[in-house]
Amino acid sequence: MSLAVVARQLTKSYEASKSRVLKGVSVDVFEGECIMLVGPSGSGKTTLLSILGCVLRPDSGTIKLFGEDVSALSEDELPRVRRALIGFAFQGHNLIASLSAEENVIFQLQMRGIGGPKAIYQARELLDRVGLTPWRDSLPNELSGGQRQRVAVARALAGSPRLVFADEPTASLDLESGLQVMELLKQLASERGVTLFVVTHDARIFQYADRVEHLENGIIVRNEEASIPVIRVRHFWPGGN
Amino acid sequence: MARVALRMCFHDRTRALGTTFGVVFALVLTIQNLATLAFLIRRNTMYIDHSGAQLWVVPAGTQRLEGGAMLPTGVLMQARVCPGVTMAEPLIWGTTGIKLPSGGSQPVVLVGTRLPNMFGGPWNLVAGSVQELKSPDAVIFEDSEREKLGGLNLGDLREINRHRVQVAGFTWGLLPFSPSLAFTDYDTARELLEIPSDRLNYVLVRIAPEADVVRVQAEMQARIPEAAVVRSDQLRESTTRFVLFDQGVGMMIFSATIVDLVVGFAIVSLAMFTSVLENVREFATMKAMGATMRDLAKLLLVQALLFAATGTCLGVAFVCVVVWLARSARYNLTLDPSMVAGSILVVIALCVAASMLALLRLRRVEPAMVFK
Repeated sequence: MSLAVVARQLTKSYEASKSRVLKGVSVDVFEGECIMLVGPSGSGKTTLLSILGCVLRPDSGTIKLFGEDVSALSEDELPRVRRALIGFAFQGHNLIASLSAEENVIFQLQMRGIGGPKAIYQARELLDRVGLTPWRDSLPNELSGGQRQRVAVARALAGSPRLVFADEPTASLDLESGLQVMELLKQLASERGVTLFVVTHDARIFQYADRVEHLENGIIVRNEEASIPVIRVRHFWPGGN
Repeated sequence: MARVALRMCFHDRTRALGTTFGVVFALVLTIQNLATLAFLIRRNTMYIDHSGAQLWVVPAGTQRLEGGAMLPTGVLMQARVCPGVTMAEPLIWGTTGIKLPSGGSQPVVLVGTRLPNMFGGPWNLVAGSVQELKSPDAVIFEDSEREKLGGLNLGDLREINRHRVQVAGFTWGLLPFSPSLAFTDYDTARELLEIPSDRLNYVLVRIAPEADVVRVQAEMQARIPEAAVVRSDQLRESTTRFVLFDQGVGMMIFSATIVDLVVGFAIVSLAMFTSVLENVREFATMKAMGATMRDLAKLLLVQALLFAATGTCLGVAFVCVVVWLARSARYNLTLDPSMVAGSILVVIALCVAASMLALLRLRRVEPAMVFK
């Protein structure tokens, strides 16, 4: 089993806060793995996710995605990497308000070079998988929070990305909806061999993780040393099921 | 991207309406200003355009037709004997006043042309005939000015410069920027304007079809050094220059047009800029999903072209209706297709420029903000 993400000694500071958010983070993620990143607020989880997702550049350190050194790429080349490899599921779903559920998914497909009837077919198939066929023509403001997040899941997986980053995908959902969304995300990702990198506070969804990493004060700490250790996690065997 | 652009436009209808209004505003006022300018120029060159003359013998230094300066009648014969000339006729031109029955007077431009050719008008007759001018003291007036000139009717007697004249007919729409034109026989005009018998104002010249107008002009100028021989297009051009620059009307309308375009640009660019600000999170999401600046430029361009197309259709329709409703002998705007097309192109360029301003803002949108 090869590595999807290899990050080494990532550091990041923000001018505004004048503090180092990441202080030399190194992390490996195997292909097909579901890794969850936990940690207290302000620990740098979202910053790490943004950097690994190629939407933010680190101050120093290297990142390889599927063997390609993306830290060496210019700002203009990063959209190509995001298009080809990465899907996102955002905390606030971030659907485009003027597009229907189906069109939101189609937009992502078009970004990946899939258009026309093929895009419509794939979008409908994905929306069917997340149980939203009856709402495929609905605008985001006509959907419930759970439905919107399911659209976001469908969109994140549209066009078969190899890596999906999810930022607090269940944060704004009730227990039942949150578990449904995570179940869908995990199931669809597994079927497609997609690597999942989830940032969460939600202990209810740790059951879906193959591995949980703790980020505290800008560094990765071992489970035993974490302020909130994770008790129940499935073990991920590279190359296994 | 085109679909997304259109959906975003229609999603925020109020803003779309505001932006379209900006385009309509810029286009309508631009076309209206340019049409007014063209109308003023046309009114000032109307006589030159309709005279049928290819060459004019005018007093040296003449910039436009205004009478006053005079030439000796000898120039007429000199013009007639010039090779290539088929016809040369004298023209009397001067401003005078017609006495009103209620007292006071109204100015008219009296034009004297020679029977039987009547080279130089009148034309557009709606009552009476040119032959009526054979009658002594007969004058043809402008129909749309009848009330203003004291309620004129065919056969009415009036007084011009202490001479009795009789209304012999009416023309329609012969309203230069100066007072309306009134036509009479050459000798009558000279008498009414008290011009000496050995003087005339201009000579109208028609040349043979096979003759080269520039060559005839040079030859005639050499033969008549005391006057200026100009082609109709030269006289039209100098008249236009006078209207545009010497009178200041052109600069006034030109500056008003620039202001209209700037205001239109401000409305459109502000609306598009606000749209980017309001939807900044969506644009950041698009960037995070892999949209390049090129994709987003396409999106804004489609929106700009949609606003331009909608605004142009509405604006042109509005202008056509206004021009049709406002048409009259005194204010008869015509929409020259090339002028309308030029205005549309300027407005489209304005919309595209506005979208590019919005794109500058979009460049600074960080995709990472979607995680905040």
